Amino acid sequence: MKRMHPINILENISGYFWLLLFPLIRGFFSFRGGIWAWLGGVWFDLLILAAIFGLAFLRWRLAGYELTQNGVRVVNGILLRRDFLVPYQQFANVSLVAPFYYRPLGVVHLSADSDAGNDWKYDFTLTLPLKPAQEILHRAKRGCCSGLSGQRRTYRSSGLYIAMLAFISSKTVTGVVFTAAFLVQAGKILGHEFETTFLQGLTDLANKLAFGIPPAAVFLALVVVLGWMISFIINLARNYRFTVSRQESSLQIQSGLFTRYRHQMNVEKVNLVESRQSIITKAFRIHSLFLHCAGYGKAKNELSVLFPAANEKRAREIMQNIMPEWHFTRRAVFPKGQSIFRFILAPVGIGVALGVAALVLAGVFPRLSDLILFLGGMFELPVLWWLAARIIAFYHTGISKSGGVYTLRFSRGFGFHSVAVREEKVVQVKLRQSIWQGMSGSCNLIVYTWSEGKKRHVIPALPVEQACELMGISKPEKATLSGWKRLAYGLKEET
Amino acid sequence: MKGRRIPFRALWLWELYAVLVYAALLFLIYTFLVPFTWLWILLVSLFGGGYLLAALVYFPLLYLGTQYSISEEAIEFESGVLYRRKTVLFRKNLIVVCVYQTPLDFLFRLSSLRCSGPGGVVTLGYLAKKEALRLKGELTAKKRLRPVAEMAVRNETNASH
Repeated sequence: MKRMHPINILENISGYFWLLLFPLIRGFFSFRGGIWAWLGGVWFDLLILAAIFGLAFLRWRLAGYELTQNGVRVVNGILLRRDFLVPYQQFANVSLVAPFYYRPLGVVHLSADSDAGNDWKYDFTLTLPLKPAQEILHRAKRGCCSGLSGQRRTYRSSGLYIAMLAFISSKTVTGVVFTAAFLVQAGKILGHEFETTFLQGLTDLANKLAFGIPPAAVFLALVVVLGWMISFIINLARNYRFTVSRQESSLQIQSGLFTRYRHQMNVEKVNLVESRQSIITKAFRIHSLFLHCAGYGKAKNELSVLFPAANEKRAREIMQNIMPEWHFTRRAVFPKGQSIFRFILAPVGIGVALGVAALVLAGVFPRLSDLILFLGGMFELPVLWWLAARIIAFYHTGISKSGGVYTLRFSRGFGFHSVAVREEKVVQVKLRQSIWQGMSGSCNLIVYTWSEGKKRHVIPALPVEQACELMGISKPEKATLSGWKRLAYGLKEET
Repeated sequence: MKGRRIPFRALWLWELYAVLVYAALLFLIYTFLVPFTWLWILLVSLFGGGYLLAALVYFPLLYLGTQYSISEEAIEFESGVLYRRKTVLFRKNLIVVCVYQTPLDFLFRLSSLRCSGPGGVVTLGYLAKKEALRLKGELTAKKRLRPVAEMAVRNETNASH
């Protein structure tokens, strides 16, 4: 049984930080008695500190791994001992992450996952020197491919397209959380002066930029923009030098500027391939390709990217060369014309309500009418954007099937998704009909695909008969007042 | 789908649930509110109306609209009154079949059959106990065991975790 790299002892320490609560509580009570009373109990604090280091060491000492002929055997735990084997053939994904601070030491984090286990945790994670980690990676590769003689096809993404993916996937919240964490940590290390200076600088900038606008609003806008920019930079650094390559059944993805990521997947374990677009990228016919495979995209802030962004022609070429088992087809079953109301009802309703409310309020408060109308107009803008997204969604939504691959097209929020999933990876199908949908003969189709947890795709407002025919399931009982009819005749039938 | 209906006693079980819930609500109203005030009358009549609607209209309709079928390819379950739902789990991906009973199910000799796949679950609720056991046998019969055997390796790994 081999051990992990000793740096793992330091990683384990963070798991026992909660023990520091005891010295804190002791300090709180003993400080009332003065400095000497507190010093008298220092032995207790030292004991806790020793326990933290001791437990971290013990955890490292008792954990180990072994490369057997069939798979990787992992042993860990102090009180609850776990001893398990993950067969090489069952590996869905093996990830090697080399954080920039580990690179001088030649240490990497190896995480492996199979279709078993839960959907938020890897089967196991090991901190290893690079060589044994590469050995596991190599054996996992041999587990999914009989021989590695096949042609290797590689695609590298250009910086512009990586920036585009970062642009689409950047979220303000991530950036704000990162900034807050950074400020707190920097404040601890450099003193609160740094934190105060940073916030004061931001406030000054907000005051300078506020031309007739409340400084608080400008400050808020600055926080949003700054948060988004930081999230953008994080995503950019993560996907920098993005390379995807395919050799037989092995798919390899590498990326990262400071921290280097390397993922190796068994293509047979890939559940689906997805193309995501926003309103802007849809206008320019640019696709971001993602895939769903156990263990890929599980880490914090990690996206399961297959290729950051590509125009339609290149995206098709990548699909043909890297993932030829999957392909996207034009929609064969799509919502009827009358279903457009289902798509646009909410934004139109809210837009009209906002407009009416602004006009009424402007009439009631004539002195504030300019401000109210301005705010009303500002609120209408995102609603109009939403309306545009819903209209595009109506023309995007639909399903099709060709060569054993389903293409599911649907929208979620302001994003447009196209999912290519192989027939054998469709686990469950659900049809949902409201009374009104029953009357118009449409339904919402919910497709559940193979996953460790639950992965569902909702395709709304499809004609029920065509949808059932395409999915190969029997039609549901006509929903229109079926129960009421059966209330009259059903019991008779049963007898 | 040539669906099979769930046994009639399932309807009686639902009616019993409705009575129990209504009784619990009445108990709370009598305990915490002053009788014959406007709030007391409003809540009693609201819950009473709700109970009558559920007992006399909703549950009978739900019973008549609930059906299931098991074919070579799929397990199907259809139900709902205002929203109708039809759930189809493909048998090729079936891994676990589980029969379970609640204490009240036991009184009415009913059982539910939960069929799970990797990423999907369908529950055939309120079946006669005998029928549930028969279906469990049918679904886990030897000729259908191939996917289960395949998953045994995964389950072994999973269990050892």
